[in-house]
Order: sequence, then structure tokens, then C-alpha cells
Amino acid sequence: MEGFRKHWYKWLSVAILVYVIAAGMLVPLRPGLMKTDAFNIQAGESHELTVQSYNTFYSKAENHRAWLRLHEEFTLLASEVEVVDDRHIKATFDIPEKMPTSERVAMASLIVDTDYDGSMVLPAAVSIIGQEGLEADPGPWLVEPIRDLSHRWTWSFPWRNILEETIRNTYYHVPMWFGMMLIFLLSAFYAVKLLRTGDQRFDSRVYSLNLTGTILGLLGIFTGAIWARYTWGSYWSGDIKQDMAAITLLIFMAYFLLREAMSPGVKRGRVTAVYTLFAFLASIPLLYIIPRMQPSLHPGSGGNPGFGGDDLDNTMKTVFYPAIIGWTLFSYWISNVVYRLSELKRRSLEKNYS
Amino acid sequence: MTLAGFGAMVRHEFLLEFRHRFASAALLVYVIAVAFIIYLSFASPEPAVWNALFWMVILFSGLQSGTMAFLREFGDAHLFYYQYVHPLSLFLAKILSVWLKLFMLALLAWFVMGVVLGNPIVDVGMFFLAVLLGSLGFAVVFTFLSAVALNANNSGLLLAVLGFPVLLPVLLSVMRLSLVSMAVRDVDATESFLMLVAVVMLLIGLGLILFPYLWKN
Repeated sequence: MEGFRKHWYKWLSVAILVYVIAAGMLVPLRPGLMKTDAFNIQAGESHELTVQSYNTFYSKAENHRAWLRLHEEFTLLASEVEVVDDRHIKATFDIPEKMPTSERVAMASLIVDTDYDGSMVLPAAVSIIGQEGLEADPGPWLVEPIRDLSHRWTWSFPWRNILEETIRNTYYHVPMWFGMMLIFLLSAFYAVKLLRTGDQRFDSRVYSLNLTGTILGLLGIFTGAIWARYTWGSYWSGDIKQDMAAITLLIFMAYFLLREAMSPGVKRGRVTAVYTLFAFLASIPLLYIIPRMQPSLHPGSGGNPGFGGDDLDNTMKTVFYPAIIGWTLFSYWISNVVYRLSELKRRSLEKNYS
Repeated sequence: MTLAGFGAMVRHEFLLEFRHRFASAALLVYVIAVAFIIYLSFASPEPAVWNALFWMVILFSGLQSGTMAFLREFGDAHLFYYQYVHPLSLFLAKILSVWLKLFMLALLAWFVMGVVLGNPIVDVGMFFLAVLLGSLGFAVVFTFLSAVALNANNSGLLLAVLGFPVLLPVLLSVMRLSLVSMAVRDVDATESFLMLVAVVMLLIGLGLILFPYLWKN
């Protein structure tokens, strides 16, 4: 019991991380539409679209419906939906001759609804090409509005095109980066304490926190690069936040070089603490101001690097918020181990020289 | 910190500068030589390239001047300063001398590059302001980190390692402002200017708060 009280946060961090890894990896994705077999379809023709989807169970559903939707308000119900297998359906659309608006080409999204999987959307699924010289007639496009959509609640993460299964990286890449920021904040706090009191134990604190923070940052960059490979196309995409993150890590790596270049003692503690504070505060524009001024591939860019809204639904929050706490507590634990090691080294040095 | 102490340190800095005038002359020659190398390798660079090269020249001159700010003090000279002047007098005097030197080097680089490569600057006043503020930012970072690196072995290399990443916010915002002055990028000039001022002020504030701790050895 005594040990549990003393080590509660270690147990907590391990429990949370086990939960985060299990839930983050095992909870399935919601059903979603992947692609159709056609890009362009002609107005005035009947067209059979083969739709490929993900995690769906079409054969378990009784009622299948599909719509094409233009500009939010114009919809067209499929005249026939045929189930090929659990992951494929064929939807036949009889496209009216006249387009609903005066434009000749319009992108339509595809909406599929079944009573087992619920409703799914594929944005910009096909483009409909109208015939030349015909007037617009919204009439046929307003006959069957989208209604009575089915919902079935399951514990699952949202389906996003392009992201697909990599959405799970939200529980590793993002919280590691949050954890790194909290760890560096704590290290700046101990650097201030060292400068105010001159207590050399705080030097070991700053060192251990900087070390774990840098390792978390490296993990964050690696997981981010792998994620970027699958969603943006290459490991390093010239994204402003990627660049700034790499520079922040360079700043903290310079801390270790500085520390190694000096001989242990009071002076080293003070100088490296001063550098830690200077670097930490100077990296604030790098992390919080400059990325806001430039376009970025990261979500929520173009002014507000906020994270949330559509990118993080309630199910994801049940894993994401614990993940932040878990990674931070776990890193704090690791930094404590490093701290004790570094304290032992310092004390044995002190003993030998006094 | 007293004004008299600060004045004395500034005088001392300029005397030191005069005593080491060959080091400064070497920097002048360095700037001219680099400008010439750029001219021979890029016949007529685009304004954006001109801008990047210009700030690279200033970056390395700044590194060199920063190295000299503290490292040229012989032996235990800092023990003497420690007893006689307030650390902030010393710090501000060093910054002032590095800033002036860097600013003049930047003007020289602008002149030489303008003569041999052509001058892409449209808004001269704004570019002048960018050079003035940029060299102040460089001077603060390199002077401060030179005092940090003074304590370690192989401090010349260490200064570059410590300095370049920390300098990046200044470098990015100053390059942004000077691109605006070349009418290459169509962004808000006031915003870029305020960003640069904010970054430089932040660095000066940090330097003023932290330097006394660094010096209290």
C-alpha cells in the first residue's frame, strides 16, 4: 500500500497508456466510402456506379439507399441499389437531362445509407457533365430529399478519406508533442529555481527533463513523418510546423553539447540553466507565432492552429485526452529515473573531490 | 547600473575595438570578398536569392563579431569587470559595439552587393529599418550566447551550434520584412515589422534578465 501511494502516478501512467494503446489500436473505424469506379458521368444517361467502401456490412442490412448531392440542396435518389458483397454495392442513377443550375460541370457527393451501417458520405465522388444548350431545371433534383437517415451507435473512430486508419496516430503523435511542451515548461520552471536558489539538485532536474523532452520531441517528429508519408505523400513535406519543430529540437540538442563541453560544477549548472531559459523562451515565436503566419498542411492552419471540431469527435476524445495525461506522466516518470541517475553521478563526484 | 559605468564600458569597448582594428578590418575584407564570390557564382540573382545571400553574409559576420565580443578578452579580464562594473553596463556596451559594427558591415555588404549584383530594393527606408533591427537582433543573440560559450571549451564552434537555431526567429522575420521591401512578397508590411520588433524586444528582455545570472560566476 505504501509503495502504491508513493508510485501512484507511475501505475496511473502505465494503466492509461495500456488503455490508450489498446483502445487506439483495436477500436474499429466507422464504416465509410472509399471510392467509385467513375469520374465523369453524363447528364441524361443512366449510370451504374460501383462503390467501394470500408468496414461496411452491406449484406447484414435490409434497406440500402444512395443519393448524389450537388450544392447541399439538390439531391437525386438511386433508382436501384444492388449489394455485390459486404464492401461493394452497385448504385444506378438516372441522371436527368437538365442540370439543376446553369453550370455545365458539377461535382456531386455520394451518400449511402443502410439500416445496419448508418449513413456515409464520399465528398466530390463524381463530376456530372451537362449537355450543351440546355436550360437549367432544378425540378427533378428536388423530388427525393435526403431524409430518415439511419444511425447506429458503435464505439468507433470516424472515417476520413485520405486519413483512413492513420487517424489513430492522433493518440500518439499529438499527445507526445503536448507532453514534450509540458515537460519543457517544467524544465524551464526548474531552471528558474536553480538560478534563484543555486541548489545543484535542480541542475539534474533540468538535465533529466530536457533529455526526456527531447526524446519525446524526436518520437513526435518520427511519428509525424510516418503520418506525413501516408497522408501528404512524403516524410518531409516542407510544412512550416515540421520545420519549426525540427529547429526547436536543434535548440535543445545544443543544450546537451553545451553541457558536455563544460566541466561539472556550480558554474555549469548556472550557465546551462540560463541557456535553457533563453532557448525555451526564444523558441516560443518558433512554435506559436511564426506557424500561424504561414499556410500549413496541419489541421486548423491558416490563422488558427487550433485542434478540435471536426478533427476530434467525442469518441476520439475518450482516448485523446487520457493519452495526453498518460504520455506526460510516463515521461515525467522516466525523467525521474534519469534525474536520480544524474544525482548519483553528481554526488559521487562531489564525494571524490571533497 | 549607472550611466557613468555604462559610458565607461562603451569607451572601453571602442578602445578595444581600436586596439583590435585588424580584426574588424578582416571582417570588412571578408564581406567584400564574399560579395565578390557571390557575384562570380551568381551572375544576376533573383531578389529572393539576393535577399537570402545578403542575410547569410550578415549571419556569418555576426557570428564572427559575436565570437570576438567576449572571447577576445584576455585571460581573467572578466574578474576585473566583475568587481568594477554592473553586469548590465557590460552587456549593453558589448551589444552596442557589436550592433554598430554589424550594422556598418551590413551597409557595406548592401553597397558592395548593390554595385556588383544590382540593387533589388524598392523601398529603401524599409530595408534600412530591417537592416537596423536585424543587426540588433543578431547582436543580442550572439553577444549573449558568446557569454554562454565563453565558459566552455572550443567555444567558437559551440557559439555557432547554440546561436543558429536561436537566431532563426530573427532571421525569418527580418528576411520577411526585407522581401516586402523588395516588393517580392505581398504581405502586410506593418505586421512583418511588428513581428520583427516583437522578436527583437523579446530577445533583449531575455538577455537583460538572464545576463546577470550568467555573469555571477
